[in-house]
Amino acid sequence: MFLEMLLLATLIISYTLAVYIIKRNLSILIDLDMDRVENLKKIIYLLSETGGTLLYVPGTGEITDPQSMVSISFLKKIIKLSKEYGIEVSAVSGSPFMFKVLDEALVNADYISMEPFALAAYVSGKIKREKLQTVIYMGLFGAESFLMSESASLDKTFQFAGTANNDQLPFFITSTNVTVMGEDMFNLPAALSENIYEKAAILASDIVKILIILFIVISGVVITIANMVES
Amino acid sequence: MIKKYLPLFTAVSLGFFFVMQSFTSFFDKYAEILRNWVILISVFALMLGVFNLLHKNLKRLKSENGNGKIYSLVIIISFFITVSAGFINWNRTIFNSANYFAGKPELVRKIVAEAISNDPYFSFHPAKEKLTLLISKDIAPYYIPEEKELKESGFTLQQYLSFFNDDSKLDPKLMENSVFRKDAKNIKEFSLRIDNFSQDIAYSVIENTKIRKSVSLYGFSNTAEIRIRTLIKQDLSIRKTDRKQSLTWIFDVFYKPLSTAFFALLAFSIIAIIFKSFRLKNSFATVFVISATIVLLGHISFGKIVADTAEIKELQFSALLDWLLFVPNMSAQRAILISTGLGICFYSLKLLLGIERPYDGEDDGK
Repeated sequence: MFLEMLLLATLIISYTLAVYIIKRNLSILIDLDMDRVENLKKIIYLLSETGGTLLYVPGTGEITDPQSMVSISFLKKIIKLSKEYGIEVSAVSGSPFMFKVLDEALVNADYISMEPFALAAYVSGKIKREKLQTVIYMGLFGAESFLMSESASLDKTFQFAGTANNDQLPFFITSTNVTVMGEDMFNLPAALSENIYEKAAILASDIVKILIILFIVISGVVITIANMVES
Repeated sequence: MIKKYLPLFTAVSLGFFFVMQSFTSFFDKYAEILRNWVILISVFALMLGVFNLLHKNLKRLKSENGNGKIYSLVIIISFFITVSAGFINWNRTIFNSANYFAGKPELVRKIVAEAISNDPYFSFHPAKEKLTLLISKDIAPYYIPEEKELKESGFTLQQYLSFFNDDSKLDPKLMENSVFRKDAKNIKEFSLRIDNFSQDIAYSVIENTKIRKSVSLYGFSNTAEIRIRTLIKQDLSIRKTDRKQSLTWIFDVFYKPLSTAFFALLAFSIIAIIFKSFRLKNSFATVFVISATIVLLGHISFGKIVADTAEIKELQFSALLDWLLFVPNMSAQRAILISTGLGICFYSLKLLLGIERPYDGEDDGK
């Protein structure tokens, strides 16, 4: 118990320190390689030229899921960008809680159903009827992601997807134009942000991650050697 | 000022509160209250969602643009039909499982015994492990093992039941009855969500007031679930309360076939995806095609025929398949899983420290 608390406290303190130290020296550190984000910015700009609508699907996860939280953060950045370019953004939700949050962040949000396939049917129908040009999927998805992305890809809609769900990644990778997977997804809102603290947090987490990975690798090697010596 | 800092303060303080709660049981009571608040709020959120659905569809019906009007009409009609069916069957559809099971300790015992004996999870376990598991889940009094099982496990009936009940010094036969009689009073809830669609089906909870502990009886297997349903149905038909319910009818006749049909569409989408993926666009696609071919040949008997015809003994598609699944595939999946875990960990830290504020709609939202 004590050790666990100590580890958590160390993690929080080291992370906070790293954020503040990096924030002060961010300009001389690394320029973030964010090709995919730049691509998305370009697409949003092109969309503004054609006057199309952007559909945002935050998945079927509840608000308590970390992926849904990231999705909301990312949506806020997208809304900011779309405001700059004058694009209409609409969102659909499969959870009443998420709907309320989307409604607060964005004017045009729809609640469909908690049933994932009903959500998929609505999204596929909307893409077909309204000839949408861009769809962003970001959050927790199940098998319904497959039907949505496949029907959108048949209509040559530009699709940007992100999920940390391992099972859905192959479907998104094949059907969508850009897929952000795993840990990258959690850094995406910060990458689009102009807030220096958020940008510093990406580098800080990278540094702490490297330390954790080194710790795991070294521990593995030490335990293996110890077992070999013992045997 | 308040609009900006109040949500931040609430989120950060509650975040740290729940972190502390996972380390000490001191905050459990307060955490439970907060979790109940979430349930309360979710009811209102659901109502808001439903009203939004109605509002948007009615608006679309009224609009001059005819695009998708028919869908809105279908949604509104089915919404009102389903809601009215719910109200008409108010007394019949509410299955108060707590009341229903509280007066029926024998039925509870029968259900648990059926569930356990039909569950492959239990049947694959040796007797001792099985009984220990039942004891650890506090469901021992609902399952009285056979003599053979007791012998194999090394427990006596008294020992087996004593882990749960302090009155174990009594005669086992008497005790068996007394345990049931007592628990019949103590059972506050033994709920079975018998009509749910997902694997949550028949996930039951026994709440024992004496030990003040929630005990979950985990999701039963399909076979066990069918047995439980049959038992309850039999009991209901004896009491002549199993009437035709319009809500169940709507669910069985409309919802189930439609959702199954939609789910079946996945098969066609998978074929389309395979076709797309098999196009050799670059070197990665080539690797993909080769591995997919190996996986296909490894799964079907045709792979063996190919190996036999080619007369190459080393050509073992099933062995290659195993290697592909358990070495490159597994390592890649684990890499993604570890990275996701780290991502979630650091995103949570950002939320805790107030660096990331998805709840704050002021800066970037409307």
